[in-house]
Amino acid sequence: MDGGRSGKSVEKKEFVCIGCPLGCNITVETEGAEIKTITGNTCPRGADYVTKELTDPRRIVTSLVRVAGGELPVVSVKTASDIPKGKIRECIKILKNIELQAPVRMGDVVAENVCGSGIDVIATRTVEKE
Amino acid sequence: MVDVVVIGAGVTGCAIARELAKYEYKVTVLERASDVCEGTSKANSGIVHAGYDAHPGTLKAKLNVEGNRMMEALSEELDFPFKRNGSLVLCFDDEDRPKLQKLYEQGLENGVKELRIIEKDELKQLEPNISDNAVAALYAPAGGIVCPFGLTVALAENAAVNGVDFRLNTEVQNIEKTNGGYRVATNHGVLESRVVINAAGVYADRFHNMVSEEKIHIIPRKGEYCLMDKKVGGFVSRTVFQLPTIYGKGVLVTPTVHGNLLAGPTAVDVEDCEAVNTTREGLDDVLKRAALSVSHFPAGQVITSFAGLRAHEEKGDFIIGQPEDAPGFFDAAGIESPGLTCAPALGRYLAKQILEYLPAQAKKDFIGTRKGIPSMALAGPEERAKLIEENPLYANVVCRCELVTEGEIMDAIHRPLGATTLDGVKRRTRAGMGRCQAGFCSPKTVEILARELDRDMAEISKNDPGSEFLTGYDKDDIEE
Amino acid sequence: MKKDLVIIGGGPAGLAAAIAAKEAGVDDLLIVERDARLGGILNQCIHNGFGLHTFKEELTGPEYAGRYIDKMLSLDIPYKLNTMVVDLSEKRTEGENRKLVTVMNREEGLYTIEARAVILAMGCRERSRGALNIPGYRPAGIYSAGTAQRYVNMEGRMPGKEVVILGSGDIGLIMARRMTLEGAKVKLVAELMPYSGGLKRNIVQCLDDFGIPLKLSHTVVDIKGKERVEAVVIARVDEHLKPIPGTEEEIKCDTLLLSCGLIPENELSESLGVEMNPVTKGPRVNESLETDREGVFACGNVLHVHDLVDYVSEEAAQAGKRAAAYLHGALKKAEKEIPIKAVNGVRYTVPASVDAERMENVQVVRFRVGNVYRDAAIEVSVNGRVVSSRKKKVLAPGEMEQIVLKKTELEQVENLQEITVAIRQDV
Repeated sequence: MDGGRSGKSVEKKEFVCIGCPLGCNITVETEGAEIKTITGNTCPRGADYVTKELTDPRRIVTSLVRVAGGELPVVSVKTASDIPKGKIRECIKILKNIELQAPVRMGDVVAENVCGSGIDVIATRTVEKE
Repeated sequence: MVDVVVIGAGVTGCAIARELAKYEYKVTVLERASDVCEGTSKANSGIVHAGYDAHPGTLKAKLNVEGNRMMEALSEELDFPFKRNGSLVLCFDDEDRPKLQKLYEQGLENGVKELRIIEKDELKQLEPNISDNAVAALYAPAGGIVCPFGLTVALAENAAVNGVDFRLNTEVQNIEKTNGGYRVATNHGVLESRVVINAAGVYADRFHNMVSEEKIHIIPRKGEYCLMDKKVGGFVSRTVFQLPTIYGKGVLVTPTVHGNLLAGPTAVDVEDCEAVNTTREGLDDVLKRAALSVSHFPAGQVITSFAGLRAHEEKGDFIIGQPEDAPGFFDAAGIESPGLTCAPALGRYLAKQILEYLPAQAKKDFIGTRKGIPSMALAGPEERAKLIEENPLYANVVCRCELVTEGEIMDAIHRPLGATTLDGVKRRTRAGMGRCQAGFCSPKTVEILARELDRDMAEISKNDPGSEFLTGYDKDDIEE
Repeated sequence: MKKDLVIIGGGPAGLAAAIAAKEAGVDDLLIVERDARLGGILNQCIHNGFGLHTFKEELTGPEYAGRYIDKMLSLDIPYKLNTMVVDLSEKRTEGENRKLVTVMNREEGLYTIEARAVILAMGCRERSRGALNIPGYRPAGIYSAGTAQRYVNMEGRMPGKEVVILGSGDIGLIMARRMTLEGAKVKLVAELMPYSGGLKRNIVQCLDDFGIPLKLSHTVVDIKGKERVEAVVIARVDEHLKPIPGTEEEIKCDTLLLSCGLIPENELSESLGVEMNPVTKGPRVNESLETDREGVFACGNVLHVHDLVDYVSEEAAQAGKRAAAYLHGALKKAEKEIPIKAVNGVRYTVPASVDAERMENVQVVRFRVGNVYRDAAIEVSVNGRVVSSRKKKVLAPGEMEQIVLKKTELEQVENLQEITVAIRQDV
């Protein structure tokens, strides 16, 4: 940990890139919120990946929501696109408190703008009435 | 007040109960576990021994040969699987021939029929897969294989149908002598009985020693087994033993009556009466020693392994009958091998003693036969069509590996002493005993049990309370 | 009942095969599915990652299945649900060859369908604790990952609260995340090998994201708990994958999930007696994905265990097309079957043989390697001469690979005897 001219410390973070089966081990040096160096990647996708992971890590969340009166007791759902990684827990809590009524159609919006992410949670299968 | 309390619903207790059910006795069977056949009776070799192994003059010897003779007729009466496939005891060294000869002579003295010593070439003709190291063998065509659960459940059901009261999940905690007989205290209340039968397996010494000063000591002897896929079930046709060691009959390799191949058991004395865990050393030992009997033993075809505890009494023979200082208390203790074989004969033997002690009339309406659960897997095309016509649920396959249908599982749940647990369904129908080991069928079986017993799926257990499968709903443990 | 084509299994393989057969002109076909719905294992794979190749989208399992089910329905392909095939045999009369598919369901009972062709698409099952021969007690709480997945994703029930997972293939990794998101505590994932069999992406998004440790070169050596799992004992393994005494560690948990290998479900194939490939545990097939029984084709996980459902769909589509060709009399009898040999690190190939005259213009040959290779080349040789060499930065057992054979090239070879697929290092 280097003192640095600005008074901030330099941190090293290790990543394994998930872009392709190579799985390059990438080392990122950051100073505060600033990325100083990226080493270990063998293509630009690696740099993009770690940048995203550091600045705005996002994930698609797939889970289940309870269904009443359906042929199945739960319906599988997903966030329509990736949401901030830090909101996953909250998203799950919201899903816990939802109970849908059958029928549920694939694509139905189950939770709008979940956790203020701007992304909806949608059903990924159809559950007919029992 | 009842006439007879039987402690233990293993094969011994159930055999005795079934015999007593022929008479006008009020009989109650107390079983600690959630089902019959949960102790030694569910984890053994399933062998109906020919009877050459027991020492002449012992109860083991007498009851072995009798039980062996009774098994065929009983299997037809009570509809459980039994096959007289014959046994071989292999001799690997000419120096050991005297041991083989001794077994032969023992067998003759015990009354075993058709026993003979055969040489290598005949041996190889009978069993091509026998190891080339075997020089000779004792051949006992009288040996057989049986389904231990089939036998036990059949005896129990027939006893129940004839009025025997089975109390499961009932553990005996204390026994006291009274004027009229015995007071048996359990975790669900107290029972007074004229007669107590101690068929408590590895716990038999505990109960005997409560009422008698002549103490007995049961040593639980663990035996581990490996069960192989039905693909190799025909590896040998007969039950192949090795010459005995000081610990018992040695490792056997046998087809099971259901078509699997079974190898085992080891023999290790343990202290814990519940130590039915398999061990790395034990399983490796089974596979290693099994390979001595046969060439290219198919160790790669293991589908499961298990362990059982035999009740070995210090003095070495069965303890059957009343201790001198405890009249009306009948032991059926130390029932290790050949306990399964002896069970029908032991039941009859002890029933006679009880009739002498406490006479009773024979029942005129005793139902002597029992029909088991029809098996779609074993049924021919006409029988299958008939079963489906009578009940379409026989066309709904639940266990794909063993071809067990919903109709059979329903039967298992709803018949007398029906299954209430997954293991109970498994032992009655074979669902879950196949190569995928219940991976596919267990969720379906759990659903059927919950539906039929009108319980929630989370209340369905593998066997005893505490072995429930499901711990809650999704997200139950997500904090708000 | 008589049918031209019976497809055994309505999962991704069966669906794609049926669609391809129908589109190639087979109208008299039937899908037989044992579950209450079509879609097979995809119904319980609620995570995303499916369809990147096929649809250029990342779908969840049910959505991917839904695309094929919709297509199948729009083509009016008949299917039966809750119907189990209990026997498969052959009948030869007057030079005709028919397959006898015996099925069973509640509504119709037990009956036999006489089919001119059959496509095997029965999928695979998981290796059990028993088959792994893990010593210990036999309490409740031991599940194969797939069984647990079914409870969680379709019944909405949790099979446990404190979980240890054995096996870091994708199913084990996915279940680590699933169980965590539904409220369980996953204590660790143990992996026998010194490397994980799963995708890097799953390591990151299923383990790292949740702080779940991965212990490579470890296995479970004992299970404690009489009624319910109370703990498992893990130990480090040596280079021979044998537990090292003294490295045992007891992990308190109430659930053990096993993700230790998938085995193609070939009971029916074996009862028919088709020639099996001992490496894949599936039927041995020629370039038309046909087994050694004419008119019997195989595709999907029953043929060899796949990692990507997109390749299952591709493979199954070929099987459907070839079954259609067979039914239309356009598939000549295989005369010159040239074996495709898998050597030098290649564990097997599917297909295992090719007839240069019978093959389509382009034939995909799929294979797996037995080890991790870095900076190696996939080499294809014909009659001992290298005809193609493709460099790959990394090859791993968990990633199915493929090469392509061209009909025009093979036809030009004089006296074609043998084709070899090998891995070449030090390139």
